Amino acid sequence: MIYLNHAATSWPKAPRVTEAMARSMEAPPVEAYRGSGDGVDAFASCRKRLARMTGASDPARVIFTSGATESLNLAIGGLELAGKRVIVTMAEHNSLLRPLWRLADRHRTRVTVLPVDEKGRLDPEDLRTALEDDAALVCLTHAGNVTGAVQPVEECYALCEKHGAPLLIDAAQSAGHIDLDLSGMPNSLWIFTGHKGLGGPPGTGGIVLGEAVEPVAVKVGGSGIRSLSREMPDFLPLRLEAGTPNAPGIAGLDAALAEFEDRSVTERADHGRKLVAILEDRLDGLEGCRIVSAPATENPCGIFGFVLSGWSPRDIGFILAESRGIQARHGLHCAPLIHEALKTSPEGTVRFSVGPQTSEDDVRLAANAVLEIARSGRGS
Amino acid sequence: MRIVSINNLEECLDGVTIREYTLSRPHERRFMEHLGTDGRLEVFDFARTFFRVTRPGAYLLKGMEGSETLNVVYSKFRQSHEDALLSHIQAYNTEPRDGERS
Repeated sequence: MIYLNHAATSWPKAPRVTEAMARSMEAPPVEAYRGSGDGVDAFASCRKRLARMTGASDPARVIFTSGATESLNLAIGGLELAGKRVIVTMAEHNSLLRPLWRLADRHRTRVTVLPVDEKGRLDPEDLRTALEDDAALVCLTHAGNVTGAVQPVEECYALCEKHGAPLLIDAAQSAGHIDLDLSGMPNSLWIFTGHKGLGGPPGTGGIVLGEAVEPVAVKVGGSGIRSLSREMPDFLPLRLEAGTPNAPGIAGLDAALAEFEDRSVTERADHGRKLVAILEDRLDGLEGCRIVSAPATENPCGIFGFVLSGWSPRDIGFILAESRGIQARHGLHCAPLIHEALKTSPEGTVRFSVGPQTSEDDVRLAANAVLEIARSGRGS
Repeated sequence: MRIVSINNLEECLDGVTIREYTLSRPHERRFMEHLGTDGRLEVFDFARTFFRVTRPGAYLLKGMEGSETLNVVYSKFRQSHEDALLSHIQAYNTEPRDGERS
């Protein structure tokens, strides 16, 4: 099998990830936040690694959740946006849009959707204009999951800062592919998932909170300490981490982050760009093929999207899987709005997304399979 | 042909019903042609032969030679359409014809 669906989830996980999870599962449970029975405090270690990776001021501002979706729900819910205005782009994922639509429907939150171009890129001028009216939050996917386009986060943060609006950076796709220094962005929230570019297990993720952002706790419950109080402990990270934490998951994520000591974010990004360039080289100019993803030079996450005239993405995905054992992804990729900009609604696109283990031969074979389909004649 | 199992598949496309039928035998060329008598058959020779049958207003069916599953998209699901297709599949005689090797 050729696995080209890393934007959905990375696979295979590094052996040290599964080993760390197994050790955590086998060790006797001990109190949360006081290390696991194997003598390793994976929580502390993982928070430190993430703080180092992002430039966060304090590891305590790294909040663990079950993934980007929970992080977005907690962040958006915790910022108390009822009746206020939020700015997003057409490139956002449903994990961000749906919590906002719910707020719009139930709590009169106003959502302004900014356009993106035919590759999924935001023009910061549109944000500048949108910020002329009050906004309580700006949400920006760092790298789109359909086109791989990278948004100009630093420039957008500067615009937000002028207007006092916090910037929520959805790094679900970019974490592990793009270095971002949050140390100069105190009014930001960095949302990540563990199982994609970071190479960790599913069920892990979190929020890195800038120093100036203090969401209220949406999820409350057991904290393991101060049990007589009616409120959650008033300090981070515990204030935002109710319930039994995912110790094996965090142990796995910690081990996955250690992999970056062997192969840096920059190296991974170079690898992603190189493989997208091979796909572009083979398929750009192919009659009937329209590449919708960002050019290789602007595509560190290694996401290559296309449509083939006369063929539904669903049929292409089926043929690739059944005929060549190529696991790609087709459809809307849970990002419904961007397909209006790409003119790929309602069937969406085919997406190849690469990871650290993907080889040049893998993507050449995938490109050849697409060439074979294109040259076989028209589909429906 | 016997239908071993029927599964619902979910995709992000709204408003369609997608079924996966697992059959008792792998698809062969004669079975494709049998399915094609219910609609428009298209056959594409890739590493494994891909085939597709379109019955406008009812379904789009696809499969791969040698596989035992059929993927069927009902654009506007009606039970009568599915019943008719299942009957058509079951009507296929898996016994080789005279002169054919099994």
